[in-house]
Amino acid sequence: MKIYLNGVEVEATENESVGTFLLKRRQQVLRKTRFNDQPRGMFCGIGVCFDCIVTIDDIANQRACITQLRSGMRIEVTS
Amino acid sequence: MSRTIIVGGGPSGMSAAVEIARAGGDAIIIDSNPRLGGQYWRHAPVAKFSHDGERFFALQEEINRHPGIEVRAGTQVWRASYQEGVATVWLNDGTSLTSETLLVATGAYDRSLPFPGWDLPGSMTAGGAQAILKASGALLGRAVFVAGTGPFLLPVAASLVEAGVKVLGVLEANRVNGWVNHLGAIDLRKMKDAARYFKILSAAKVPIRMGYAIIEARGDGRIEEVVIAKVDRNFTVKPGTVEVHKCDAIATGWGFTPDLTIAHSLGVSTDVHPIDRSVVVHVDAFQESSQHGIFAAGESTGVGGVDLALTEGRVAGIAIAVQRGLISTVEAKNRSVGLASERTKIRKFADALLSVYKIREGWRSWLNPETILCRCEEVTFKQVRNVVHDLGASDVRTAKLLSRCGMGMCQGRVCGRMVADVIGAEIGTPATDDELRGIHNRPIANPISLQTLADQGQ
Repeated sequence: MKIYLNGVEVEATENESVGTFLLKRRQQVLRKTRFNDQPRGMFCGIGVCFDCIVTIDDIANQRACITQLRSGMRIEVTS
Repeated sequence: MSRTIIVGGGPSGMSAAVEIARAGGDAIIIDSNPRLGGQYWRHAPVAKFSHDGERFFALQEEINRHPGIEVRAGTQVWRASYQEGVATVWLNDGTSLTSETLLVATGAYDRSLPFPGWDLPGSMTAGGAQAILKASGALLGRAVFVAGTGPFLLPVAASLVEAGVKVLGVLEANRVNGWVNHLGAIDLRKMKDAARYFKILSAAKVPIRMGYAIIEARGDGRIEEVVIAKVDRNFTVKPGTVEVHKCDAIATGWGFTPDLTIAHSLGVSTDVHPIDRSVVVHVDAFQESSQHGIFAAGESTGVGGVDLALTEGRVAGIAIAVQRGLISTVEAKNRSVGLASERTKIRKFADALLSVYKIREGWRSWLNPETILCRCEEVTFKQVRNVVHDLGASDVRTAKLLSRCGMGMCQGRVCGRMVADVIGAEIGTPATDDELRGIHNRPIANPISLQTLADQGQ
């Protein structure tokens, strides 16, 4: 299936979270913090810490680690 | 009568569901994960990384076979309440459920300690590293350190080795000779597991260093190296033992924190655990809480691992069946043979683990003024000190309000306990039991859209 990563079409497989999909592409950095502009990636991996938040289908602050990839999904990360 | 609500589809929730089903009852399991199994099993599609799979598949098969059990996976409870004997949970799919019986089986998550650089990409919790590996075979890095305290570090390091990660070291901050005082509590099955992990680690020549900790992580935008050191019995760095090592990721874990968010919303009485001071649901011999019809099992009643969760889940499931009039108390006794003594035995072992792998106060000496304590609101150690010493905050709540620690998106799940301990140390009085309970007060348990709020909220 196809998804869009920062507007670019990318091949992806099912049964994968947004977070693990990005990590497998060596995308360790998922966002910059709002006060100090510091890079952050996945930390807890299970939806507790909200460090891995990304914009998915125009909705901000979605936890990459617990959001399953879907065909056509548009993911925005800042690195 | 509506079916029993089970919040959490891990070992305790699954085993309770099976007992309810065996008694001819109905239940619905709600879980935020896409699959049953909880953090322990995760129903790994990558079967190789799933240990202890037989018990999981047996439970899942039985749950699937019973028409009375519905599984609603990938769904979060965002609010829960208890009024006049009826529990209500609101779900992020826009629906709500009510029932006279509900099981809190919400599990636990990694307890974290801060250190300079713990917020860098490449720094994960031990449970997080294990979770992404089990869920999809994703690796946190190529050359990593596993550090912290507790027996959980061993299976994490072993599964990383098996997945092809170069594990540069396992650093256990405590010393195993703490076991001398708890020999009677040792669980031989667990010793067999540990021996298997040691074998995997020694075959891969992974150094296991007792009394060592990661005290700093450094790098430009991501982890490139770590500073490790030998620590004393109080976790204070021993002078002259500091080493710097290259690596691209770290997994740290300091035991677990029971997730009490839903339990707190249901108004159940809680205890502060005498050993690790974590907040746990107070339950009776039947796993029933102070609220009639609200039961709790697994880590929410105290961290104890999968065997305790399975046992407590069975006890709770049988007790729910009795309360709903599905089976007699005599029948319940027949179904409960051995469960109570099993529970006592495992609890004793779990408490011994908590004692040996306790977090010692010296960890605060690893902090520097700029170390982030609250990751969400980016609050530093210096800022927390300032609200106590300059603004005069003299209790945990005031210090949190003034510093914004714990007031970000995770609602203090990650930093709440650790910040309470830091504030307590700065004030000179340890956080009280009620201050620790307050950490778990999250009336909105999970983010929801304004639409959902408008449709469901009051």
